[in-house]
Amino acid sequence: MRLFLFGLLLLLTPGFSGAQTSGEDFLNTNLSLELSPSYPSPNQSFTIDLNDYAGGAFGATIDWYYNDTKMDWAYNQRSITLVSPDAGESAVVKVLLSKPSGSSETVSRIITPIYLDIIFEPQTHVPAFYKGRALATPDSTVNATALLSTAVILSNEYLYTWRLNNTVLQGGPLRGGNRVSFTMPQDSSSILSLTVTKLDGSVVAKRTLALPVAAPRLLFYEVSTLYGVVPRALTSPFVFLSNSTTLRAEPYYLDSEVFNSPSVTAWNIATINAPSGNNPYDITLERTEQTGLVDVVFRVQSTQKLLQGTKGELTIDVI
Amino acid sequence: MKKPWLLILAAIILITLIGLWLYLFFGGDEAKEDLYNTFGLVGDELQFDLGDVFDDQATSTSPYLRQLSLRQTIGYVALDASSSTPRTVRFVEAGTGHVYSVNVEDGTEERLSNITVPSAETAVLSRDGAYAAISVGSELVTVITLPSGSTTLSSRVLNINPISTSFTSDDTLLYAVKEGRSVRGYSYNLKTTDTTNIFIVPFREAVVLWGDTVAGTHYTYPKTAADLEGYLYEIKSDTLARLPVSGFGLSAIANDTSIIYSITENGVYKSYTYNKASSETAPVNFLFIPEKCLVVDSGISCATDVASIYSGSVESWYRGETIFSDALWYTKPDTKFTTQIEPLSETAGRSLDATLLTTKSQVLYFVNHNDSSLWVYDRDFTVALPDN
Repeated sequence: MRLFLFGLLLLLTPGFSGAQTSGEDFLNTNLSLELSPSYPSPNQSFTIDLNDYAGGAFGATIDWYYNDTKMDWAYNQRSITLVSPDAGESAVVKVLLSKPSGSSETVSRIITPIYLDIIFEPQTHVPAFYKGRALATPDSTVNATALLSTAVILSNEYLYTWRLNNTVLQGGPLRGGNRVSFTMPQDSSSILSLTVTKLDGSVVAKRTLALPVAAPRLLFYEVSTLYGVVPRALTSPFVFLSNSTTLRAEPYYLDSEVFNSPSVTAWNIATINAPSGNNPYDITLERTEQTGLVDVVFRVQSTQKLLQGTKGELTIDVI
Repeated sequence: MKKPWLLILAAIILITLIGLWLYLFFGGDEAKEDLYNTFGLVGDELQFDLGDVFDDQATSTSPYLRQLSLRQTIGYVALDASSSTPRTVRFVEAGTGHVYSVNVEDGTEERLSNITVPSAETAVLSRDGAYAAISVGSELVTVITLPSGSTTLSSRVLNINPISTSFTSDDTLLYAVKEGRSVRGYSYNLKTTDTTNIFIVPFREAVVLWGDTVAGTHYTYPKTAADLEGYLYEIKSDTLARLPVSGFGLSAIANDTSIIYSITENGVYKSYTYNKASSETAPVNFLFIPEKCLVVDSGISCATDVASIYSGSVESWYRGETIFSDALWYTKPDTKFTTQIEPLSETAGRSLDATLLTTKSQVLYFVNHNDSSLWVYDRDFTVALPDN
């Protein structure tokens, strides 16, 4: 009977879960070290927690080691914050538990940080003079490129699993699939996550990023026949001094397809529709005898993607 | 109340209402009358009146802060004085692509090239001023060989669509073009016309920071957006290496030893330096847009409007919505000391938004982003700062 109870006790003991044990204590305490974030980038601050769900470490002293160097400041702490090593280098964090009974137990974790960069390239319109990156807008196409690197960019022989708002893209993990394109949802912000695994299934790196969604917006610029677009946005009231001027409407962050083939473009001057020239985003105005304030409105709209549209208004002071 | 009084009161109210109605419909806001007739719409063939281009002329009376030319400048190189020539700046005029030389001492201007590149938008000149590469948007590049000694004025058109161009110290043209979902960097030898692929960047929206030589260190990062993360990569021997420089809204400039960059952290705009030799990052105690800075051997000089910089102001500046009124600042990254060298805009008496900063013999040159005018800050801008 005693032998049966002893066997039952053994069966009910939780698994070792990678924790190394030593000493005379027969009970495993199911110790583990948990990182937050789970896969820190190089030189990134991270928190490491000692998980002791079974409570077997009750009353034990806790010593922390970083690459076999004891961290006195962390004595008896159950959670500490460290900085991960350089890209491609490894560090071993070890915890030694010394129990009142005199037995001891260790658990360790190897940290090999790696850069997992995700570069978003929304396929929306910005003018040629704009030096910044375009932003994603609802229903626009976004290209994402993942670059896995230590000191150098690593080869692409990994499995990439992309998720957008918890929906797996491309139907599942992609071998060498560090590039993906997707249509931006209509939510105000979307979550893109990427898990990179080796061919044996072990996780190499994982990242989750919020992808903000902007709204298309319209600005007006003057176009000079000599210099091209003058890269200073016009503000109301725009004082019209010369005999004529050409205005360009620039719909920032409008989906590139919509920009190139808009369903609707309309210039409106003092509530009356006005024709543009060959370029639907340009209009040339010529001074007449009249002076005063006049409102110029431009609208561009897709009829297929209803959130792909924008309107701008500029008050012109003709003096 | 008697009936006549009631009738009189009703008549007064009626007259008042009629008067109010007439005023609202026929009086006031005359400016909006017959609005559509204010303009005649004439299609695309109009000539733009250039008469107001230079309305905002230099008012600087400072002897050391001077506007060098009234022409709009899209690229320039400063040249040292020699035994026979004074200090000069060679620059390319916007719109025409004509190349001029201006004497820094007396401001006299001479046209070196009358080869017209219509709608010229960007230009780079070689370090010795012998060549100018002029781009129209992202279309063909015209390389002008400027007259010097026995060399006569000539031009050639390269069938490339670069996103970025530069010259090495030995007059090799470097350029980057988009190809598929990547950017490729090339070198073009002006003498042999040999073209060599020198690197591939695995994304398209790339900023390329060129090194001094083909085999030297170049850098790249995704274009700036305050809401999107950027990462800095070093390119050396055709290999990309990730540097520990990243963050939302990343923008940077770099040389072989130092990188200065700005990012947005938790919605707050911050500026840093990164020392490659020591791998140390240090905050800079004034805010700047790296494109408005210059890394020199002894420190960093930036034209910045510290009170107007916030996380979204870089993009606003790119869009032409924000105009800065800069002062010139200087700091040594390894110390905590920073000093304002010159309140540029205040001294000039007009808004100076400096970009394309370069230096020659410790004198600073820049282009005013507001009107593309070329300026010189003609005195040493690298001050002696205490070490600690």
